[in-house]
Amino acid sequence: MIVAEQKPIGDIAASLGSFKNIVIASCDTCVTVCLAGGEKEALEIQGLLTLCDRESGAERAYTVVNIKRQCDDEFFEGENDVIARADAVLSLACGAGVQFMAEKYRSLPILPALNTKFMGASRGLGYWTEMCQGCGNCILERTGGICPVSRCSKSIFNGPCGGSQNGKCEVSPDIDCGWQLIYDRLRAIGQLDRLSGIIETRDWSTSRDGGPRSLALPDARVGKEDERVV
Amino acid sequence: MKILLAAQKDLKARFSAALIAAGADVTAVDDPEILSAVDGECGAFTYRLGGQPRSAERIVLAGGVNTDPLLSDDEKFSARLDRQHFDRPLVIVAGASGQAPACLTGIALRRALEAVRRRRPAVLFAKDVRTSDADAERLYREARQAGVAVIRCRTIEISREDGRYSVRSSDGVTDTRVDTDWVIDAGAGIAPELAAFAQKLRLRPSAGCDTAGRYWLYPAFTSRRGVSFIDTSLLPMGAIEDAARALARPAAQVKAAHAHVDPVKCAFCYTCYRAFPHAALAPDTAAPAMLVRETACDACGICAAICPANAIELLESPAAKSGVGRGALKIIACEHSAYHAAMAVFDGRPQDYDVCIESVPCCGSVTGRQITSSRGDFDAVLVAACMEDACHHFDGNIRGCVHAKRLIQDMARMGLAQTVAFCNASASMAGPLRREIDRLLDVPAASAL
Repeated sequence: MIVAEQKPIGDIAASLGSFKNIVIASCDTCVTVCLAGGEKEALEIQGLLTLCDRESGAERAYTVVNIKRQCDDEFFEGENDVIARADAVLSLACGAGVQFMAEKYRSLPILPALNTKFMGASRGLGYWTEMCQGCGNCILERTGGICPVSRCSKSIFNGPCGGSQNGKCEVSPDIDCGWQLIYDRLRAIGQLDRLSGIIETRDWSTSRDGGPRSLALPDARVGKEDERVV
Repeated sequence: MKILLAAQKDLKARFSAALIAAGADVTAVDDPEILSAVDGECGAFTYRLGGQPRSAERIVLAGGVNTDPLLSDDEKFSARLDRQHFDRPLVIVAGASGQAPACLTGIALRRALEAVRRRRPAVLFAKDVRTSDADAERLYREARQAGVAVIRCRTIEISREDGRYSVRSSDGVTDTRVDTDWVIDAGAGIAPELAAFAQKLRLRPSAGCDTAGRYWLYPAFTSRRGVSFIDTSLLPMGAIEDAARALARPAAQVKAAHAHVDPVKCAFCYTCYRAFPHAALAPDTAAPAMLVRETACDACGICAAICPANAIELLESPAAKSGVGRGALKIIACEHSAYHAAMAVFDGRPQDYDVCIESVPCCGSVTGRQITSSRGDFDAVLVAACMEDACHHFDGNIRGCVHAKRLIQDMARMGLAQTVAFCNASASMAGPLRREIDRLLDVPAASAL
């Protein structure tokens, strides 16, 4: 799941500039689940901004729309009219949703209300941790299901490094050493032999280092090969 | 309702029978040794009994709390009061040793009131007077008016010499000393035989609260949701049956209001399931959405407030309002305690001061939207929760406090004047509430409303 957090409300208010008619768009999937960009947050931001405008004498109109997923075209269908009439959209989606909207509504400024943080898992109520960096070349089968790219501060492949002390990372005592976790896990499942070989230097072009990535599934794209979605 | 009853030996049979009579499916245990692997959460506990896997929706721990027997025994107290010299005050100390939960505060107030009515002076030392319902608020006012001296303090020391007690207290500013020959300690500690069960259930003791004023039900005995503690040492006759009925919660006793989940809007994120204080929500994986078990819902509104998809609403929620629709101040107050405290501050006529007081089931149900829209109609908004440890819905007041404070910070960052505030309130500790109201109404603190 994509985890995000709301920007400070002052930053959001400042980004509105001189726009008068603003649509606040919640995104009802990942960022709703991480309590950052759902309908409740959209209504709360609307309330705060309305109040702020009243105090400062600004005249703005806010409309809240709820989009199931801002990274999918079809979910905008019911809200196209409202969005088209707006001066700007305050999007409570992750970076992908904000950019998707910016491509879709080319003449409309799309303003982000969230800082997108990471891909992670829920560790209980209101707490998430990073689990994956989308490097494009998964080796979890060799490391006991614990990712050295995202769970080790240095993303090293043959750890731990000298900064691992009592199971903690030198970067912060709050961070578990990823390689200690890998070792403990492999020992627990009787696969310590997987650490006996060196994990070779990898090709990072499958990750961000190879530039912006895309994925086209030939099976699904039969007959759509030349179609541009937005 | 499947209930695991962990009870002291002498109570097992009676309590078990009461729960069964109330319609619960009960598994009763009096030997901590055979209970193991208690896991899961409110509504879905699993455990092993003599090695056999079992499940329960709720766990009830029943036993006695250690406290001064004079608090619970009317006859003994009366006889002791007869011997008490008219010049010597009865001193009741709440919270000097162990915790002084709301129910004991109530008992202590009743005892002090009884003493004063029989012309014996009475002094109540308390770190906090924890009241959790309207009856307790009324009792407190009655006691104060009858002449019970209540001394709020941070530290209390009791020393004894030649049969005389000397009670010294300090609130950080003023030191107080009272000499007497009779001190009742209204603290409470868990009976040793229950400690083993508490350990098995991974409980940590904390202050409890009195949910109905009639029996001693501690839903907040532990941070573990779904585990209730019934203190049977202070139970009046017949109250075991009352408590059992409340725990088994047959449909007839359910509040008219209850939560409703819109399955289309539900993001199935489990936020409500993880946060809700009562065993009222269950996942329906076929839908997929959360389901509300209406018979278990206490209509506290916490799940509705925390739902990020705005998919939960309270049906037939009765919001009591007193005062004006627009004006100088709106007070959003917990119905159990802060509402009565706020009404007392305005002598029951908030409209005379251009003030509206709205009662909510729990301050944990107050949303940011509710606060900002109230602030749109009023010059200032005050969210008033009950005292800590007095919440009927576990940590609802703390949840409301954290949420309101975050919103207040946001508003301050946006340059809005400090016109939204939060406080814990009780008529028995009206000082902070009154000060906050004075500040928001821009009234000099020294003046009385």
